[in-house]
Formats: sequence, C-alpha cells, structure tokens
Amino acid sequence: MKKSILCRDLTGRYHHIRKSYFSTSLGEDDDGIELNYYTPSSNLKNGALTDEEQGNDDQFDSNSAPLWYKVLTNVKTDIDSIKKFMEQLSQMHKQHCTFSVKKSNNFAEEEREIEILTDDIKRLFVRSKQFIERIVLPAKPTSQEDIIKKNTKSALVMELNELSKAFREQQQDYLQKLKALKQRRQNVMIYKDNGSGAETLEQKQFDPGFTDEQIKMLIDNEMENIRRDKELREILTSIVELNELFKEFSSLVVEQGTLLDRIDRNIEATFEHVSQGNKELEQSEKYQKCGAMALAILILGVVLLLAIIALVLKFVITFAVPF
Amino acid sequence: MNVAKSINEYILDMVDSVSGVKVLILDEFTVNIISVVTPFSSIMQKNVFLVDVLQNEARQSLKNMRAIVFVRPTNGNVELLKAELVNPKYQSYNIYFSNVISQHLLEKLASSDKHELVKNVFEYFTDYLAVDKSIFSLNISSTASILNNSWDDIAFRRIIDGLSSSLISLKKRPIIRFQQSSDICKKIATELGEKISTNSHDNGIFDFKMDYETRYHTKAPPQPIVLIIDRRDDPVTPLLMQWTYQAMIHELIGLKNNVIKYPSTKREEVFSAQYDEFYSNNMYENWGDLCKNVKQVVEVFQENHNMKESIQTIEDLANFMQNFPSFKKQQQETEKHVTMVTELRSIVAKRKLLDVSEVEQEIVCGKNHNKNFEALKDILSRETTSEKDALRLVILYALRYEDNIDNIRTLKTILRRNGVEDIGLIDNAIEHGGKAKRTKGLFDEEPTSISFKELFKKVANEFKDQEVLNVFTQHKPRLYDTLDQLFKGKLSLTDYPFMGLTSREVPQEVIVFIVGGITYEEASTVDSLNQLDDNFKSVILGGTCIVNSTTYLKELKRMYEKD
Repeated sequence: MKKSILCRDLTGRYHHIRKSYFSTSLGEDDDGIELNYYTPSSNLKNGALTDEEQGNDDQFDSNSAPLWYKVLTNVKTDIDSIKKFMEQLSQMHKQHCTFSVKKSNNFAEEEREIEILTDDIKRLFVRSKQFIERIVLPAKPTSQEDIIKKNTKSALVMELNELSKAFREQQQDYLQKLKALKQRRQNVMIYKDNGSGAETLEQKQFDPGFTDEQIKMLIDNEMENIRRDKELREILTSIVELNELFKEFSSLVVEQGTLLDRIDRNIEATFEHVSQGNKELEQSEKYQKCGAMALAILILGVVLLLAIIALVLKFVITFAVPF
Repeated sequence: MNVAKSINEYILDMVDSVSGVKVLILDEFTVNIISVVTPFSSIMQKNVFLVDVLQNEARQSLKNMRAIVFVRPTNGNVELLKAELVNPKYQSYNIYFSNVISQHLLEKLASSDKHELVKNVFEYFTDYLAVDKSIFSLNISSTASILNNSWDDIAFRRIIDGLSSSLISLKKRPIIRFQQSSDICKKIATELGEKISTNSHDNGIFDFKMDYETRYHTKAPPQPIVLIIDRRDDPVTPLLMQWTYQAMIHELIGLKNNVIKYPSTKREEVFSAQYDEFYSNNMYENWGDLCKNVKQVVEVFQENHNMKESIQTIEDLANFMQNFPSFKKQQQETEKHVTMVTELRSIVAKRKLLDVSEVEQEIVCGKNHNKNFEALKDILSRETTSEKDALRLVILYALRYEDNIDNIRTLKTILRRNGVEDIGLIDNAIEHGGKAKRTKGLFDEEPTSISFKELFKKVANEFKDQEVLNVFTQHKPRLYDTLDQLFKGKLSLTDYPFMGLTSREVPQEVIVFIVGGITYEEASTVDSLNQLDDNFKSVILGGTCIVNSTTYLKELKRMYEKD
C-alpha cells in the first residue's frame, strides 16, 4: 500500500539557496530547483535522501559505537530473524496438522524439524534478552544519553514482548490443533481396529484374543499417545517459560494510552530527571569539596594542637630543669 | 475523513523517513499536536529515543544522533534553528515545518547552514490538534479580541493557517460557506477563498488531487464544503450543563489536550478514545447509560478476576498468562472510569446539578415563560445553588428573554443579594450573543410564517419528546439543525452564503469551523451524524478551542474588559 500524505519538498529549493550563500561559483545550475510541487512521501526515498541513505551506516564508527547502539543493532537483527522463523514455523505447523492417514512416515521427521525451529526461536529470544541485559541503567538518569539508553532498552523490550506474545499465541494455536489431531488419529485407530476385526471374523472364532499384528498396533498406538502427551506438555512448559523471560523488564514496558506514553509528559520527565540529576551531581561535588576543606581544617587543627603540646612541653621542661 | 488518522500518518512518515537512531525536536505547539495522536511507544519503535523542545537550552550535545525537527514555521523557531546550526548539537538535521514557510524565513535559515547540516526541508500540513477522529482544535487560548472587532492579526493568521492545513491534510479543496451576520467569518472566508483559488504558479498550496471516499464511480462526487460559523450564532450551548460523558468531564473537571487533572488529588489521567475501548464506546453516552455501563464493566471484571483463583493445571496457567496483559489493561481501564464516574457523581450531587439542569433546559426549550421564571427565582434562592450556576442560569434566561428587561433586573437584584460576582456578564452576554448578533431562529422566537408542513413536524416532534421524556437532554445545539438543513440542501443562502464558487449539490463531506470555540456537545452531535452510514456523509468539526461554561464566561469577561 502506498502512503500518500500531502506534503511539499523544499529540500531542492533550500539547497539552492544555501549554495547561493556559501558557494563561490554561482549560477551554474539555476534550473535544478523545482519549486512547490506536491510529493507523495514515497518519493522521499528516491529523491533528496539518497546521499544520506548511502552514508547510513556511519552514524557511529564501528569501533567507537556505544554499547547501547551495538545492542540495538544486534537485537534488531535477531528480531528480524525471529519474525522470519516464525513465518516458516507457521507454515510447518499448518502442514503438520493437515490431517492425512497416509503420511505417518513423514510425521516424525516433520515433528523433528518443527522442534528444531522452535528451539532456534527460543534461543534467539534468550539471546536477545542477554543482549538487552548488557545495557545497564544508572539508578537515576543524569544525562540525555542515559535517557536514550533507557528508551532504547524499553523500546527493545516492548518489541520483544509483543513478538513473544505472538509466538506464544502461535504455540497455543498449534497445541489446540495438535490435540484435535490426536483425537482424530485415535478415532481412526479404533475404526481400523474394528475394520480388521470384522475382516478376520472367522479367525476370531478360533482365536478369541488379538492377532500379533493387532497387538503391535495397539502398543504403537499407546506409545504414540504417550509421546504426544509429552510433546503437548513440552509446548505448554515452553509457553510458560517464555512468559517468564521478560518479566524482570516489566517496569520498562509502557502501557499504550497511559500518561507515561504521552510525548509531552516524556519531555517533562526527561527535563526533570536530567536537571534533578545534575543538581544532585552538583550537590555531591559540593559535598566533596566541603569534605576536602574539612579534611584540611582537621589536619591544620591537629598540627596546631601538636604545636601547642610541644610548646607546653618545652615550657614545662625549661621550667623543670633548674630544679 | 479522519483528522487523527491523518496527523498520525504524517508523524509516522516523518520518523520513518529518516534512518538511524534519532532525536525528535519539537516546539511548544507541535508538542501538543503530536501528543494527542501519537504515543511515545510508537515512535520509539522507529528508533526515536529522545524527544525534546527546541526552546530547551539545557539540551545536551549528542553528536551521533540525527535530529528530526518538527516545528511551526515561525520567526522565533527559525532564529533558534539558526543559532543551533552555528553551534550544532546533532549529526544532521531534517526539518519538517507544520505549515507553509515563507521564502524569507527559508533564506534566513539557509544563510547560517554553513556546514550543510540540514539534509531535508519539508512542509507537512499538520498545524492543528486532532483531538479525536472528527474533532480538531487550534488551541488558540483567546479569540476575544477577534470577536470584539479590535483586530488581532496573530490570532487571525493562526486561524487561516490552522484551517487551511487541516483541509490540505484531509486532501479537501472545499467550497466555502460562512455565517453572513459575522464579520470575522466573512474575513476568514475571503482569505481562505483566495488561498484555495490561487493556482500552483502563484505559490498555491491547494493545487492537488482531491481524495474522495465515495461509492460514485460514474460521476464526480459533490464538492466538500467548509462552513465557517461564529460562536455567537449559538451562545447557549456552551452555557448549558451537559450530560454526555466527555462533555461532563470537560464541564466539571476540564480536559486539556485529552488529559484531566483531578482537583482533589492532583492526579492526572488521559481520556482519549485512541487506546481506551470503554471510553471510545461511551464518550458520547448519556449519564444514565454511562452509569449502567460502568456497573456492567465492573461486574465483568469481577467475573474474570474470580477465574484467576481456579488455576490448577499447567494448561490453566498458560491460558491465564496469555490473557493476563489484557486482563491487566482491563483492570486499569475499569479503575480509571470508576474513579471518574464517582468524581462526577459527587460533583453533580454537591451542586444539585440535576435540579439546576432541569430549570436550564426548561428556560432554553420550554414554552411557558411565567412558570420558568418562577422556577428560576426559586432555584436562585436555594442555598445549594452555586454562584456560578446561578449566574449561568440568569444569563441563559437573559439570552432567551432579552426584551423582558424588568424580569432581568429582578434576577440581577437576587444575584446581587446572594453575593454573586460578575453580574456585568449578563449584559455582556446579550451584547455579545444577543438577537442582534446571531442568525435568527435560535429559540424559534420569531416564527416567520410557519408552513403547514413545519407545523406538522413540530407537533410530531412534541409527541416524540413525550415518549423520550428526558428533561435533561431536550436541548439540541444549533449545529444539529444547521447540519441537518445543509445535508438536505436547504440551508439558507442569505444567512450562510457561499464565498467564491457556489454549488447546488447536496454535500457529502462537510468541515465545520467555529470561531470562538466548539463544545463537546457539538462534538457528540457530529459523532452521531458520522455514525449513520448514510451515503458517505461525513462531518469534521473544528474550532479555535474547546470551551466549557467556565472558559466561555472567562472569554466573555475578557472581551469587555479591554474597553
């Protein structure tokens, strides 16, 4: 879908004016300025921004980039992978749960594939969490950089939270389908049992029990049930685990539509935090200065005291000597 | 047409079109534009990690961040930007003006950009506050000087800029109609008409392809209409006690950019339909139904709450966890609205507003003058009636029975005896919004030759009213009738003439702009019209501000103080 807001791009005109102020060679390309036309904003990317786009990666030097920026890029990459994997997984789930009697051979293999992919996704979630943990926030932000760190962390947590919610929903959905599948397979088994029972009615008269084949099938069936139950339980546990994963960051999640999510309140809060932080910093500096002063006074006091004692001693000694 | 959606699109486009990690720099007006429509969390997802205002001198230098500057194209902002470019704090600047910037200011800006820090300059037409889907405000604190004919060029320009940017953002190039009896409406209509008719060679900003939501495929849909009205056309609505949720909040507590502050606890809370389902469903609901709905929500919530105790298996736990976030949200929502309704209820009880409102509605809509006059005198003499309500009541009476000078004098004496201040406002109100100033027909005072059909309609209406029998909501704002007639193609051409182009077509899309402020009762009227899915009929209501009785009376006072 193409976005189509109405706006006017003055970049060309602006650059032209700027050139007229700062460029020594004037008036080369006067016709390069298109005045006043409306641009659907998708033009933006092809037009004026290309220079900027090319220089995209050097917003930070790769070696001097701050930690929070590195974390941001890493986690964003992981998030993209998670999204891609989840799409794949959803396809596989669909295929796996499409009911068919014949494909019992592929079944186990499909299951394994699903398991591997699910584990990969979980691992990515855990890794992202570990990345995020590396951004350590000060108890109170004192600079705008601190605020940026906090907001980066909070944005990543919220995005991962949403994603993990979607993933859990996907898992739960799969669980429901798997249960239904299990039920249907069981029904088929019963039907099969009955069917083979009818065919071999004659046999049964001689042998009131099960044939070897039937017994094997029953055992298989039972095994399958147990395995499946275990699988179901594993999915459930993973849902619960995943839910716990980001719990410790819950204070960083901002509920939509609340006062905390208002941009005006955020500016006020930033301002307050930073100025208060600065004030505290100043105060502690002052205290430190006071501390140094106090120490100096103390030392002076001690020296003075020692001097007085020496003086008194001297007197005592000089007076004491004649006797 | 949806103003909140348009503005939000602009904002998201803005933060999206600059790559990398970003700082968003606003001014004191654009802060509000963005705050009412776009939550912080959604721009954070686009890597905007810091928001600040241009005026803040304590901004720290962040050399690696790219700045998105979204400000109004004012001289003051350009001066600040100039200083910033000489002494840059960020890596680069992408500038988005909320309206047309003059060549002169653009040159001024470019002249100090020696280091070529400005990468882009755009005009994004967002110079107004989209308070809700179909409601916008320009947040002009006072239009007293404009309405009072002592000229205020700054406010006038603000109106033209705000109104034209709202039309452009909606992609409408409308035909203009205005209230004939108001000078200011005529001036606005003239100025706007010139803007619209100027074509692209002369710097015209209305030279674009219009956007229609329509079912018509064969023929062009009717032209949209912008209707410019003066608050004086209906001076009654802002003075009446309102009984719909949003209007009550504004009247009794006060909404400011969709945020309220409880007077008792100083606690603030957001009341916006955007992320609050209950509010979105109930903001236009009347008091009785609202209380019922709040009770219902509480019951549903308690039911869900009890489910929490029955977790036994791991399956239950997984289910519970899945539902927990929405459960928590529901809890917060319920709490918020229960608190608000409790607060409103206590104010209504304390000021005996049900009694007051009954008298009010009778004065405005009733037919029996003598009975109303007695009821009014009675309620004025009660101790429970607050001074503010008493004044409101007498002003309403004076507006309706302007010629009954003796009675008005009697009422003034009663007020004076009760120690009510600002009695002069009664005369101000008549001078400001009396018969001479408004378009005829506000109280059906001069029935100019009632046709048989109209008479029939009136009788039918009276029967209907008896069925509804809600004494507190008899009054309908004048806007209701005006829009009704407009959509029927019957709005008087002498009272509300065209400016420039005319059209005989019945309109489909209407943008109403009220100079002097809109009320939430009118918002509710517009909403109920928009709810009808009637041939893509769609109305946007905008005004210089959003008034309640307190701010309206203050404005009235200011208007005559300056003399």
